[in-house]
Amino acid sequence: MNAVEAKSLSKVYRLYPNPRQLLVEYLTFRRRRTHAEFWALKDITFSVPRGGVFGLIGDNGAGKSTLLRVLAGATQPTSGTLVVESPSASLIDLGTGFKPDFTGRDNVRLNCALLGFNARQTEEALQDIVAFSELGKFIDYPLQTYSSGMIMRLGFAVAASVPSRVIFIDEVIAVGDNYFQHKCIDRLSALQRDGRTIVFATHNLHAVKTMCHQVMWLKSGVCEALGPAEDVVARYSDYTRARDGCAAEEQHAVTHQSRHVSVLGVRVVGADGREAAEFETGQRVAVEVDFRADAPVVDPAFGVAIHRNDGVYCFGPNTAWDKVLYGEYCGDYRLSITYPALPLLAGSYLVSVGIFDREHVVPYVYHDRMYGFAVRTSRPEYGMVLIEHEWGIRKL
Amino acid sequence: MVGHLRYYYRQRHLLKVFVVNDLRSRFSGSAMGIYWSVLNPLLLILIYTFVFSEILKVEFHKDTGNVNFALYLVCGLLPWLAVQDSIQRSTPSIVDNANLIKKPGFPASLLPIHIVISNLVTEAIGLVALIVLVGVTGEGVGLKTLALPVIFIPQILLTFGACWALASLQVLFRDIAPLLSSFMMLWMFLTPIFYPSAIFPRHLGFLMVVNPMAHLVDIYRELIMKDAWPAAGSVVTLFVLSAAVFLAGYAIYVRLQPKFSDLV
Repeated sequence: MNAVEAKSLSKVYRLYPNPRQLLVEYLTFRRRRTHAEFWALKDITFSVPRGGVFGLIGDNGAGKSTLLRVLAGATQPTSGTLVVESPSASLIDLGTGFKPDFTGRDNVRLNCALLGFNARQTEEALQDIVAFSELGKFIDYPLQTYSSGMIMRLGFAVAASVPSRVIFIDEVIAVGDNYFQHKCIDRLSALQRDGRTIVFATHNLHAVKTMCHQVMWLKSGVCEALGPAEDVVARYSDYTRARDGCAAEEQHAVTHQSRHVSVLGVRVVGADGREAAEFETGQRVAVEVDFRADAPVVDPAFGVAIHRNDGVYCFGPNTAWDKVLYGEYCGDYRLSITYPALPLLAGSYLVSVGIFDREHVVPYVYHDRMYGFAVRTSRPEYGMVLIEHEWGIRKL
Repeated sequence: MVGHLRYYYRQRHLLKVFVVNDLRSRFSGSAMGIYWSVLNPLLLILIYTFVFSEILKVEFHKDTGNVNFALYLVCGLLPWLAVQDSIQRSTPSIVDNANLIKKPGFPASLLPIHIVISNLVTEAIGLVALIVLVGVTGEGVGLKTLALPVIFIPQILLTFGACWALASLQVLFRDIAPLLSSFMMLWMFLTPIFYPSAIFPRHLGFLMVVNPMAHLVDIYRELIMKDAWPAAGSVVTLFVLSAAVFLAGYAIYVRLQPKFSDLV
């Protein structure tokens, strides 16, 4: 039984260059169209089972809030079907459902009345809400005197205290101070144990990983990834790192090329010797470099480096420092470097390959970050590498 | 439509919270509080009486006999002020309350409705004060004054319709609000509030017939001042016009309501 069932939801906003154009369209019975269409959401399909916690992640403007508004019924989807178990509560935009000139108390009454509470139910709910929001005497002050944190506290208290089957919450919790954010998370966990369904959008990837069963990554209104929290968060983190990397001006090119030494091909292979695009943390992985020396090369230094896609240089050994593979090479060879248990955690990585002279200063040939592979990590881990570790504890 | 009525009956607590808050915000913070609902028209009447009967020397005898001009004015002003204030405050009410409109399940029509009701409350207070005053000063209040609540019906229909239409259209076309004050001024002068309807130019007479406020004001005067039944034709015209405005306003509201949350 699903609490939320969304099928190909889309939301299009019409953007008019100026208000006069709208009038022109109306007066010409829409024969002259001047508006541009903006697809805030495109073909979003997902479902959340009863009691599930569903996370929405993505960049600013990706459509997370729009999707929440559509789910909560605050705005109509342009197309698609949506079934949400009722009643639902939502905290999406700060101050939604509040009238600035009413006192906090009257605003709570207003919201209770919208839910169809009678006078007794309202007063009961009011006590809970006032207690949870910790607004004290401010509850009898007009809302326009509140700080954004106070409005959020009241909004959260209302959304979390009313009987609902589904709760939609946006990033607004972040407005609260640390203490209240913890209180909100605790309350959400309690509601979830109580069997409520929660859908929330956030930039806090740690919260997503710990709380959500399923996560959707929205990118420009399109569902980029949907699945278990671990996978989707890993892919999203990878994407943000790649973007940071691009921002920090990168070279993915042959930076050096000599006349008599050339790299013929580079492959990243698994334990079975087959090339693959994705590996598992801890797996046996090797990089194979095919090169050709047209003239004899004496004691060259071979180097293979791994970078993460945000530009972090992970590891880059060379044969000179490792004091191996000395000799004279002439002809075609296949060089390989094997990592018996790949310690890298989930993410996208890039490989650089270089062949240097004896002093390993000037490269004969250097391919900077031209080859890539991805890593999947099945168990929850944070960071970049898996470092062998043991835990211990003793009483002092 | 019936669903709408039933909804507001169920949501009467909500309506009450809004009306009480509206009344409070209109009068709290001022030293005279709720007395302003009586004082305000009273001051207006003093000003208008001075301007029209002393400076402009408008002839009232044709229509009113020798009845006190102030009383004549107040019968026109009370309903006019209620309608005018409702329309002027309702028009921006949906646009100005984006927070509420974006709340799922919030009935947007509540915003104009509570303003109309709040204005009816103040008008009723003014009317009671007026009737007491007329009774005390010895002009005598006839039993036909008791028929006033019936005439509230077309007034409410008219105001609801106009307020729904304008508040909804304002969401799409923000040009309505600035246009409105000039329009209301024109409407006020086309309504026989400061002058007897008899002096209205005969070739423009149709403006009197199609103006529901002209009928409304005349009926108020017949009932309160003359203790006479108003002309049946006038009453029927008023009901028909008001019902038409109400239905048109409701249709416009229902048509545009789904767009509100995206446009406010």
